[in-house]
Amino acid sequence: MIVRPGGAFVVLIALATSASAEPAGGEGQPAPTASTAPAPTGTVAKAQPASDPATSSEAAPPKRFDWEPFGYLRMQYIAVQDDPLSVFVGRNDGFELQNARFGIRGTLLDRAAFVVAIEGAVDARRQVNTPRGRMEVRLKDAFVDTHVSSQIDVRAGFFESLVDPNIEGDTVREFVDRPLESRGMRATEGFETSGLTPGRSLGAAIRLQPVAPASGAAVGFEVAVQNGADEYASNNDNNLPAASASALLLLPAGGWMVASARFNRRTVGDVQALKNEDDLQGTIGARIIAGPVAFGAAAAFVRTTYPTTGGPVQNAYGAHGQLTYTIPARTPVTLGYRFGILDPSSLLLTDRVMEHTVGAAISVPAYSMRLQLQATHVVEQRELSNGRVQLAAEVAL
Amino acid sequence: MKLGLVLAALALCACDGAPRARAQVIGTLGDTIGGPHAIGREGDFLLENDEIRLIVADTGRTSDPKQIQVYGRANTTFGGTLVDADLKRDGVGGRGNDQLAELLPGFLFTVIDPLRVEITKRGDDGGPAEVTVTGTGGDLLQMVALLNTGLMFPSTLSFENKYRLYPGKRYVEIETTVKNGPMGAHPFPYLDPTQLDDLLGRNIPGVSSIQLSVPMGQLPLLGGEQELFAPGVAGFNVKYAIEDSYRMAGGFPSFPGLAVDFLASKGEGVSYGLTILDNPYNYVSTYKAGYPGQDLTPFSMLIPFTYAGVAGVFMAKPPAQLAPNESFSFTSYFVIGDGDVASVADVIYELRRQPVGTFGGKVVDERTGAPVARANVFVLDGRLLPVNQIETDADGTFIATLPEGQYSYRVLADERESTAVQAFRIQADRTTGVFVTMKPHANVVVDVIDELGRHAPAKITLVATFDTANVGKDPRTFLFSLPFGERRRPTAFDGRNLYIEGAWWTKDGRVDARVRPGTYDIVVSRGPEYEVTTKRITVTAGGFVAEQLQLERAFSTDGWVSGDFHIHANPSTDSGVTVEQRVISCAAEGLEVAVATDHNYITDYAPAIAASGLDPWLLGIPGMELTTFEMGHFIGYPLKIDPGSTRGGEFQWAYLPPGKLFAQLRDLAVDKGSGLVQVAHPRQQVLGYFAQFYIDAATAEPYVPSGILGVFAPYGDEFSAENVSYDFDVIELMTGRKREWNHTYTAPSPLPPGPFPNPQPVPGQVVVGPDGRPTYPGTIETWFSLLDRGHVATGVGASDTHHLLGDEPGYARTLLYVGKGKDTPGGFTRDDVVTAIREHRAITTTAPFVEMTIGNAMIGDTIVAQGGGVDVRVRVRAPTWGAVNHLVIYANSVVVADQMIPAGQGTDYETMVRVPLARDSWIVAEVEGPTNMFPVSTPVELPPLDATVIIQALSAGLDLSSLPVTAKLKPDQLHTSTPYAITNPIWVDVDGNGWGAPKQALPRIAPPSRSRPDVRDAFDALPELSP
Repeated sequence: MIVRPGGAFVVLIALATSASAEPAGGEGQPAPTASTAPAPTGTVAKAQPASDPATSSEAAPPKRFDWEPFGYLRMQYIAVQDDPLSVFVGRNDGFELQNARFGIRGTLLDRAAFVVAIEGAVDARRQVNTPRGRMEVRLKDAFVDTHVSSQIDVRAGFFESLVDPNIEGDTVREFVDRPLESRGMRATEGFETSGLTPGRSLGAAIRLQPVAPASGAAVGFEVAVQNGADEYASNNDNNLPAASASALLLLPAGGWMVASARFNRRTVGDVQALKNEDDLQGTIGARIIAGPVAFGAAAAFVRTTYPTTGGPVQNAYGAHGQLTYTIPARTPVTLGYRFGILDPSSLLLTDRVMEHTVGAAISVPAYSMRLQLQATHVVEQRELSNGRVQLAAEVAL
Repeated sequence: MKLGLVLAALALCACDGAPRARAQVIGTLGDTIGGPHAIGREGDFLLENDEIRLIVADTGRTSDPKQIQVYGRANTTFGGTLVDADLKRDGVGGRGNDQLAELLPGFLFTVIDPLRVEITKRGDDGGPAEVTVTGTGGDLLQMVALLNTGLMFPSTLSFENKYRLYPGKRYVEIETTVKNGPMGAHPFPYLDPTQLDDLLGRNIPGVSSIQLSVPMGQLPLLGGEQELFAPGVAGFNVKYAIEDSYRMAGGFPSFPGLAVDFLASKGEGVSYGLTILDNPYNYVSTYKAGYPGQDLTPFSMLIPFTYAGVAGVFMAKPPAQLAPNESFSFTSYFVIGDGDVASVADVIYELRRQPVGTFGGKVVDERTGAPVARANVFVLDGRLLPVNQIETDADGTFIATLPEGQYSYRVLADERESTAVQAFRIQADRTTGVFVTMKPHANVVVDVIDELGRHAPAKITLVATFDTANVGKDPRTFLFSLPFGERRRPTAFDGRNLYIEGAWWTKDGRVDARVRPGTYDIVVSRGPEYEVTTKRITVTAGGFVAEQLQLERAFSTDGWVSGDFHIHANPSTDSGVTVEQRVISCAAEGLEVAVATDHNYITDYAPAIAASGLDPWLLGIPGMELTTFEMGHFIGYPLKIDPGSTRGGEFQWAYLPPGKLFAQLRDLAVDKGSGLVQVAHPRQQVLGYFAQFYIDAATAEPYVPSGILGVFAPYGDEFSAENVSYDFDVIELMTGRKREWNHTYTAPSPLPPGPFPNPQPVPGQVVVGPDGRPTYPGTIETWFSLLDRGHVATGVGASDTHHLLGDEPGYARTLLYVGKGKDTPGGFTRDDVVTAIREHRAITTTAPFVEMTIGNAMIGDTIVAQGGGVDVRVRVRAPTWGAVNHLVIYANSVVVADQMIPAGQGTDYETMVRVPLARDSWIVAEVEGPTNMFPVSTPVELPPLDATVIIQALSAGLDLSSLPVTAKLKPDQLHTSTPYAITNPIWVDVDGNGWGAPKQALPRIAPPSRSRPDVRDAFDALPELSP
């Protein structure tokens, strides 16, 4: 097993967490406070000596193969306004399991590292805008990073690229749910629509993983080729892969900036009548931390063209900005406000959604637990009343 | 290393990727296609490429040429036809989606009686694969043998049909050949009309003045799930567009009918099409003057009829004559699409090498932005007529190719307002895309409980109103569009402005339905034993309404259960209702017994009943409707299922006399001793046993038709009068809502405008023909005659339902007495049902419950009642929506009581009638009422298209006014659904020496009589014309 790291290793692990959202607190480390876990996602810890370097000569040689489990549970109670017109909005208040994540990560000498994780709380809906669905267990991460140089890895497997600019893990996110541009609108909470960022996909990437700087900035990048298919597709239902390029800037104190571009020629329709739709996408995100104050923002833009069927170009955009303040204590309390906006289609004149969210999070690091409470006022262009209140609890391994 | 390279090279060579076609004899059922109408089996011929799969049936002949096995398996008489077709799909054999019933060449009504089916090209050279069928001519319908023989004279011809499949193509090329024999020239038509008239001596009025032609083509049976489409005026309204085309017919030599550029269909996951290329022998192009006002193209084909899923598609005109050994060939193309018309049309445009552009886009909900799946994007021509239909996929996207030109489009979905018409232009090799938003649908959520609080099966109907200015108009003109494939919305048809927006048959009283926004009455029902519960709601676009409603029982039928013994689902060629939908619909209509009676297919409802959780509510009995083309339809039950048979059992239906058909049904029964044989719709023209055998209503014996009736009488020996068999157990007294077949037709008062053929009808009296017999004899009068002559067949009511809304199961139905206290869910068995029928404890009804007793005797009993008369007690109960007002009691066919029921007692009436009896008698009670049972049972408001239309079409120009089916004075087929019930008899033995029939017993075998005219014999007797 990997030796329990000291404080320095916490940062390293935080940098080295798996795709999308499982940074330190989510992967076997004590749950960090919001301000201590600025974790760029999608990296895996390289094997590092866990003890003091000064005594390294006395340390045992690195194991050929090391691994450790990680995981977390998140559950929320959600209450959504009952819209008087839409039967599928607001009639399903109650408890929801947001995450039941379990995985292992490990290293093979100093040549490679891997992450395999499953999610036991995938909300699989039968169709659009229906409250009916099933909770399913699905693969979440399954990839290997091979170190080709001291900083450059080749990643292969099922992973999430940096195109989603909201790279904080589930266990460090200040708010109960992900920002609007990544999450979209879930069934029962409004008119269901997907987020604008891609999910996980099979593929490969070359990555330069920067080391968190004490001052200044460190630059990294990721160039990825992925299937671009549905997140849980067993195979590639696209005829061509999606390609993306991302630049990552790590800032002191856990801040970061990321910008990405992606092109995905999606294949849609039934096998007997397949069609292509081209997504050209740009995303940008940042997190700046100044003491107890953290500012985060991200934006995503997707331009979709229809080479097979023709038709007007569809533009979609979404963004959020948030400001949080953390009161340091044994049980830190974070207060925050988030504004989100999502316009899924320029072809529909009435589909823009805006959210104003206020929330609070209380961390109990000693038990790797957090409690979160938030209230969201949703401003729909369409006639819809769907504000919501959420209370979430989280515990991590 | 070298070995590895060699192996790799071999592997690469073996996988060159080029598409292939192949033909093979099917060795195992795993090689077959599968699907709702799949009947391919070992020994048939499989044609497949990388896109599609097709099966050609074998000849059906064994080494003994007299032994033909194929009858009963294919839908038409002979083998060698295309029976299965589907896209190539993933998975192993049997998992396909074949919805094709059959496709066969038609030379007017001559089809190929195959001598040989063989693979003539295997396709292993990278070229096409080919299966060839060769044979002689056979009659598809004996009834039109006069025309067929006179025009074709097939006995001196040989026929060949090649099914040719190319690699990578979604069509099969069909090359059809007619070859003359060596004996002499063969003209087309073989005889001219005057020769026909003179030589056959029929004196058909008008026949000598017409010139005829011989159309040849294909006869597709595309299956009940498939909706026919033809671009232009027809759209999805092919049936009625054909009828409309008759009014524009230019006259012979061109046969009347609808000229179409191509024929296509729409279905669930698969669609079909038929087309030709530009050629010099095009039938329609040859006779352009015969089709004034119709859109003609170089590819036009003629559809003179479509009936029971069979369409006649004629495309070729043979030369004026064939020299000895000369042949004539024509080519057509059968296309397979993926469910919409557009996927068929894409292939057709490619075949024709027409320059095309692409039209595509996406359809989303205006409010939610969610994709609208399965919406129909109609492409319209300059007159806004539909020329193509594209279905959106799950993502709301659609795509199709179109020839260059200016078009419009309009999007329709049943639960939404259709979009406005938008214009667009197609340029060759260019893509035109659109983004379409549709208004939101509304949701109606209904939860029904019965009087005991149970979530029982129930029907939920939404009734709406239309503008009163449209009252009296044909609903097709303002309420829904058949050309655009909109579902029918039945109206009250009684002067009120009510119509049904939709209806849902539920297994548990729950529905969450998408509907168009509007104000509706939710009407909840569960058959005649319940009243309707109504609640008015208004739903807005994107909104919903949720209601819980409770059923209220109208009356109880202690000891009696409700059954329907004539029901179709999609194992029948002409039904698109799944078995699951069917059993749920039966339970929701309050039926407790459902006999599966698919056409030539033994179906068992039990698995679907169990899977739907309806075991407590519905008993399924396996059965079959043995379906002949011209002899009638006969139902057998309970039958055993043969899982090894593609039809659930092995049987024949062609060229057998009735007695052998009945014997077959008894052999197929679970218990040969107790199996029942039921005569279906006995008085229906062409499809009814009594009609086809000319059973005299007064004597219950057959007679030989004279005059023009004889011309349209089947000629086969099996139709001879001496072959009539009375070896049946059950007669349908009322089938569906066709009240007009119940009783012998009497002339209305006043008479409609004439003139009428002699003898002149008299208002209020039975309409008779020249022979003095009733022109439209009633089923019930015939049944009475059978009873009078001692033949006791149980009278039943059945729905003959093929669909759902507008053709509901259970109307009519039969109430059976199974024993006091046993009419509870699960309280009776199949044997109880069979016993009740055998004991004649049955009531035919559309809603009323009529109990008739004499003392302690009930329906079906025989009693001794010496003393000159009996007191007949009748009690009638009915729901308020089926109230009655008239009671008639019959004894030995004579009306012995005729009472009007007071208005306040139409739902619960009891009376005692003293019936004096001088001799042994049977007594039957009958009730009826004027109440429109809408919306529980819908009216017949659109004219049914039946086989008589074919005869009318093919006889245009002839004076057939004396033929019942074409006469001016005939029963009204369009009417509301009204309450009606009739009991089976109580037999009264007056003299105490056992019951004796009041009239002479029917002969076991009908007396030999003058044989029917056989037009073939007439031709043979003409030396100057015989080869």
